[in-house]
Amino acid sequence: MSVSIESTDTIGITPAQIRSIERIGQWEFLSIADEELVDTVRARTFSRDDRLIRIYHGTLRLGVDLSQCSDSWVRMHGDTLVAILPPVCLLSNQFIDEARTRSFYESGEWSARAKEQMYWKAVRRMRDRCLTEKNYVLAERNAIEQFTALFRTFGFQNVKVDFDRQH
Amino acid sequence: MKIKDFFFICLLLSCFTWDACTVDQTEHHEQPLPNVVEDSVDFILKVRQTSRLYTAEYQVHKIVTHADVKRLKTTVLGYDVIDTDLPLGDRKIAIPIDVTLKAYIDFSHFSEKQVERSSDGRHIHIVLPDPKVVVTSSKVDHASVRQFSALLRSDYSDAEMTNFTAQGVRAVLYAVPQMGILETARQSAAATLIPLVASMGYEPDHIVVTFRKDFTGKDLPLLFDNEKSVVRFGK
Repeated sequence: MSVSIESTDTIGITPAQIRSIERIGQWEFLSIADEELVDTVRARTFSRDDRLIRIYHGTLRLGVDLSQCSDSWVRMHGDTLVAILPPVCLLSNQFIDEARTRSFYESGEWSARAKEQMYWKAVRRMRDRCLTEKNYVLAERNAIEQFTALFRTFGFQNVKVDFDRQH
Repeated sequence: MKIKDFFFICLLLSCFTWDACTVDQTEHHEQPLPNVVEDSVDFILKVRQTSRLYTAEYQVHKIVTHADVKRLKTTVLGYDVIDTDLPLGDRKIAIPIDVTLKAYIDFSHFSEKQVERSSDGRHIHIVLPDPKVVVTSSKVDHASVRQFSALLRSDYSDAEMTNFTAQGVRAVLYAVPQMGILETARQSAAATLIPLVASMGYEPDHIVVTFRKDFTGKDLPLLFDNEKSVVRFGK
């Protein structure tokens, strides 16, 4: 004879609702995966401090948005194919995958507002850490390399790829 | 001596009461968090050079629910004798999440083998790699999370909530084949590439963009690559 108390750990079945569908043309040349440990403490006077530690995961994607290209961004100049790309940018401001957040430590009760503040703290930290001059240069170099290789596969041996600096 | 003890106990009790009030203020009045210190440390940074053309973006909303009912189970000789819900032992939670999915074509291994030109050089046929889908972001609407706990149960912990959120996003990923995102991705890829190739001197009518194969429900099960959030259909 055995006596046990059981509970379920799986979520219920609910529909996924598509809010919007968009056709885009974004070419990614550099992805930066970052993890940030965000620590929030609420000091208490006569008992141990409340603390919440979460590890956020995000991937920042640098590339070019082809919708910003001019009509004649690819043209022939003699025997050379010339492509002028728009500047490298962060392809989306929403880059944290909160589903991959790990709750590392929790003591005390924490409101929705506290968690929202931690999320935006992680966003700021990731932007500061990843959107560096060095990474933009790296993305630009890779864009030139990849587009040159792509045009060569189409049979163009002389290729010049550059960025629209006045954009 | 007794009066001293009495005052000491009163002081101690008032301190604990005041301390508890601090928590209530934070929870209910949504004021700026008092005495909050936030810090963030460098954890992992992985930089990778890629060449991905994102062609479709889907915004998906899902309400992740969980009902935690404690059940008392008594088994005798392999047979369930008692199997009943425990009174005052259930709790429920609903977590709204917004997930952004993007479909992309990976050009990092694109080569001349995938480009075929006619002998007169007027026609071109491009075979693109399989589209893939990745979760580029997910966000919990913390302000709209609702939870109910019975008298004898504790509230859901942060670890439990993050676990349910992860399960919710996985459920969204498994619904990808029914969303038509891959078809949208293919059409959008063609719409992006045909003008690009046309600007190289080819007539738009002479450009054919195809994919490796058509995808059907038979291509299931889904395969996950190293990124875990990426879905690829099997060959």
